[in-house]
This record gives sequence, C-alpha cells and structure tokens, in this order.
Amino acid sequence: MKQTLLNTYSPDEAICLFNFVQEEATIGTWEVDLNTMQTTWSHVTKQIHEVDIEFEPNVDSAILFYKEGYSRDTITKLLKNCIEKFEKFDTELQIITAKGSEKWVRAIGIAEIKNGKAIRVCGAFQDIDEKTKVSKKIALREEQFRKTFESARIGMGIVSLDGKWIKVNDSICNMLGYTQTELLSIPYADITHSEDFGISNRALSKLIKGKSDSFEIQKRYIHKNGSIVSTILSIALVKNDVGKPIHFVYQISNITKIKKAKEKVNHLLEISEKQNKRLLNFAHIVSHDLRSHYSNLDMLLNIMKIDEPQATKNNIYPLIKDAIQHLGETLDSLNQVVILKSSAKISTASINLSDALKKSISSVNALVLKNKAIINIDIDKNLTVFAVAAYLDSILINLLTNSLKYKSPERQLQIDISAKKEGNYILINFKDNGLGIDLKLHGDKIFGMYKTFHNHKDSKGLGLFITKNQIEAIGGDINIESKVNVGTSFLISLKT
Amino acid sequence: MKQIGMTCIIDDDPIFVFGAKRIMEIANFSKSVMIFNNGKEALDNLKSIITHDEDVPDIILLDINMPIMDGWQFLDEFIKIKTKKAIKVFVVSSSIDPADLKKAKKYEIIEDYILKPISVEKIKNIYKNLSKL
Repeated sequence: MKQTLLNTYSPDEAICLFNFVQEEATIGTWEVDLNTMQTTWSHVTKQIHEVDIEFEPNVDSAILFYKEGYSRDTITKLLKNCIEKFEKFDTELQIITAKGSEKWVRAIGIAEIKNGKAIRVCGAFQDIDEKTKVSKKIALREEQFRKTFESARIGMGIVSLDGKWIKVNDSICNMLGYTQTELLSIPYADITHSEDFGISNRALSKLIKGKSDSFEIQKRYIHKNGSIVSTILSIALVKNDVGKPIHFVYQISNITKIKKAKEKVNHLLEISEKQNKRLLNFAHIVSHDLRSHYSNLDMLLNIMKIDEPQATKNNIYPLIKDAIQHLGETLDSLNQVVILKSSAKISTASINLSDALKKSISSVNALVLKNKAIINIDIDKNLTVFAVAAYLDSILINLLTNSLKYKSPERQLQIDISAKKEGNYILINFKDNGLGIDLKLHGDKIFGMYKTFHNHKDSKGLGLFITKNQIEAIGGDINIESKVNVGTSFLISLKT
Repeated sequence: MKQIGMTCIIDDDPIFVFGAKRIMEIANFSKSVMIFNNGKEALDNLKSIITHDEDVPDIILLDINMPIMDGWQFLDEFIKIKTKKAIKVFVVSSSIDPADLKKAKKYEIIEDYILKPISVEKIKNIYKNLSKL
C-alpha cells in the first residue's frame, strides 16, 4: 500500500507527504549510523524534544533526554539489546524536553543488520503525552472506583440492564451469606423476599424509560441461612457519553438491626400504652369504687352517732372515725395524682408569684398562727411565673404545710421564701428550720409515691410526689437540700 | 319546715340506700321515698307512674355508676318524658372524676352534683336550695 502510494508521487512529493503524516500524527523518526555514530533526528522528533531545528543530537545526549530512573534505564537497556541482540523495541517512556517539560513518548527501534552485525539503528518517536495522561487518569479513576466498590461497607453491585448481577462487592456477599461466584450464578428470585419480588424490576423499567435517574426502595432479601435481610436499596442508572444506558449501580444498606430495634421500640410503646390505660383504669377504680366504700363507711358512722349514741361512747369509735377520714383524704390525694397524670393538655398563664404566695399563705393562716411560725418573704412584686393557677396554689400550700408539719419542737419555726430571675426561669428558694430529712438515707426517693420520712400522724406520703409532678407538668423543676435538725430548702425553678 | 312530698333514689348500692333513707328521716326531708336499683328499673317505673299520673316524685337523687343503665343513660331517656310538674334531679355520686362533674353541668335538668358521703347537713342543704327556687 505504502509502496503504491509513494510510487504515484514524485520523490519530492513523497517526502512532502511523509513530513505531513509525521507532523499530523506527531510521529518523528531517528537513526544512528553505528559506524560513524552519526545520529539523525527528523523535524518532528526535534519538535517533540523541543530543540531548535539546528540541534545536532548524539546517542549520549539523546539518552540523557529520558527521565532519570526507570525511563533512562529502560531505553539504555533496550538500545543495547537492539544493537547487540537485534531485538526490536516499542516502549512508552517519559522524557524531559529541552524546555524542561515532562512528556510521555513512544519510542520504537529496529536494527539494520549486515553480515551478522548491526550497522544502523532506526525508529520512530511519537508524542503520546496527552493520550497517556488521559488514559492514566481514567485508570486512576477506575482504580479508585474499584477500591471504593470493593471496600465499601455498603453493599454495592453492578447490575445489567436485564437485571442480572454483573459484579458484587464483599459487603453484599457478607450481607446475604453467599460467595461472589454463588451470588452471580443463583437466580435473583432466590435471594428476594417473595412479597417484594418484582418491586425492583418495576423500578428498573421506569429508570430505563427515563422517568427518573435514580430511586430508593425498601426491600427484603433472603440470606443464605433463610433469614430475612431488610435493606434500603438505591439504584442509579449509568449512561455512557451519548446517554445510552449501560448498567445499574445498586447500593444496599442493611437496616435489619435498625428495623428490629424499631419493632422492639414499637412493641414496648404498645405495652406501655396498654399499661398506661390499665393504670388509668385502675386509678378510676380507686377514685370511684374505693371512694364509694369510704363514703358508705363515713355515712354509716354518722348515722351511728345519731341512732346509737351509746355505741360511740368508747375509745375505739373516734379511732375508726379518724381512720375513715384519713382513708378519704388519701383517696382524694390519689385522685389528684390521677388527674395530673391523665390530663394531657394543661393551660398555663402568667401568674404574679408574690400574689399567689400571699393567697396560699392566707389559706393556711390558721395553721401558721397555731404553730407560731415566722414567714419571711423576699420576692420582687413584679416577678411572674408560667403556671396553672391551681397547681401553683397546690405546690405552695403543700410546701407550707410540709414546713408546718415537720417543724422542730426545739425552736420556733421560721420559713424564708425568696425568688430571683435567672434567664427564662424564676428560681424560688423555700427554706425552713424544721426537722430536716436525711438525704443520704432518703435522697433518691424523696419525691416518690408513698414515701414518708417522719412518724407524723398526717404523713400520707403523696404531698411531694404530687408537688414534683405538678411542677414538672408546667415545665419546672424541684430539688431539695436538707440537714437533719437544721432544716430543709426546696429549690424550685419555674418558667417565666 | 315544709317537707318534700316524694323523693326518688336511684342507686344500686343497698348500703347507700339504707343510709340515705335514714338520713332523710333524721333530717325530716321527705314524706315518702321510692327506690330503684338502676336506671332501667327507674325509667320503666317512672314512665308508668308519670303516664298514670300517680305519685310522681318531686326530686330524684341519681347515682352515676350503676349496672344495666347508668345515670347518664337514664337522664338521656328521662328528659324525653313530658311531666306536668318539674322534677328536680340531684346527682349523688362518689365519683370525683372531673369528667363526671363537667358532664353534669351539661344537663339542664341537673340541679346540683352532690359528692358522697351524704350527711344530714348535705341533705338539709338540698332542702334549703330547693326552698330558694
């Protein structure tokens, strides 16, 4: 072909064409006359080396253009073999041009042999820098993808357009319990939960039709051991340069543990809701059924007093009367707890603290006077708290009656109530010099239900429990500091 | 002090009925008393009494929690019966459930909600309130 082509041209024309081809393809030529060691580079070869047209190369300087190390060592060896053993070479190496830039080149060499001896070496020299860089970049990208694919914790797979596995990573294998080879050979149906069969296929056809680029579904697979693997499957369609679909990329996250945990949480929630209902039901029984028995007892005792006065004139009757009265009070307190626990919606309002406290003190005034208590109040008249009025009243009365009940017999009762604003909260310090509570002994159950810490006849053990619940219901907090025989401080924070 | 002519107690609890009758006697509250053990029994009998214009009660003391037909169900039916004279209904219950108190306020026919236990004082108060009307 070449022969024919050249033959149709005159020698000048042929040289012209040859140069044209060289320049267009960036292929240069070179040759070394092994007798004279005369080295010749073509025009293009010089251009690739970025040297002047007048540059006169020799073998040594030519080799020095190759990048030190692998490239220079390789070309030296190849050239030596070519001359001594007549071995052709065709290699890709790096050179440093006269202007100092690094370039990938393809160097081809062949020896001309005469009488069993190489007399001349010649070859081609091509600038492949751009092509090499691009392909190296692609190789790097592919390498990165391969590494990501293989070491991803998430299950990754490449799936053909007709829905067959092409490649799967270790994570999928671990997730489903199969080896790579097994997974690629078994039917997709074998690893898909029967109820979820077809959902990914429908989605795949949507993707191919171009209705979306990617989608995410929850899908259950079947592990080799038969157990269900719940996953979130994300599928993306990969297209080539001209937009034609090539394959799918599957990303599969195992959510079995999360799902199981969620099921457990839901189950617990269900149980606690049921128990809560049962508790409310129980509370209703307490508030009604028990109360009706108490009512009857109380009523009968009153009738007895009128109808059988003789039968009540003994030591036992007043004790029964007391016991029944306490029963009634306990039931009322219990009912308060029930109301507090069952009323989901509460309406708070901004209430003046100083006024509320005065009102509460006045409703226990008789007790204050009887106990000769001193109450010191240090509260700014403008302080307001967000509370349910009835709760705030109940909280304050409860704290007051607590201090009054558990005063020290050795000293006059003094109650100091102060309040200050801190950020969005009002901090109330409610302090007395009463009996105090051994917090080391009772600290963790001080606000619990039915905990009484004194052998006081009025102790029912619900007061602080209700108080804490009321405070928490309006978004506040209560803490206690106490020393036996010194006194107790309640620190309450309420929203303002 | 003028007595109430006829009082109707609707309650399933015999102890309460016994006590209530005795307390009304002590308080000299009512000339006569009729007792029904649940809403259904009361409704059937009262319907017949009212139709035949016999001893129609002046007031009804009505319990809420009862078997067969409770106080609310009784009221829902009872208010449909036309009577010549106004019959006052007092709920007498041991329930301190705020829901019950709230519900009671919705019935116009309910004069008051009396929390058990009842006592001579409470019965006398009913009488006082009725006299004011």
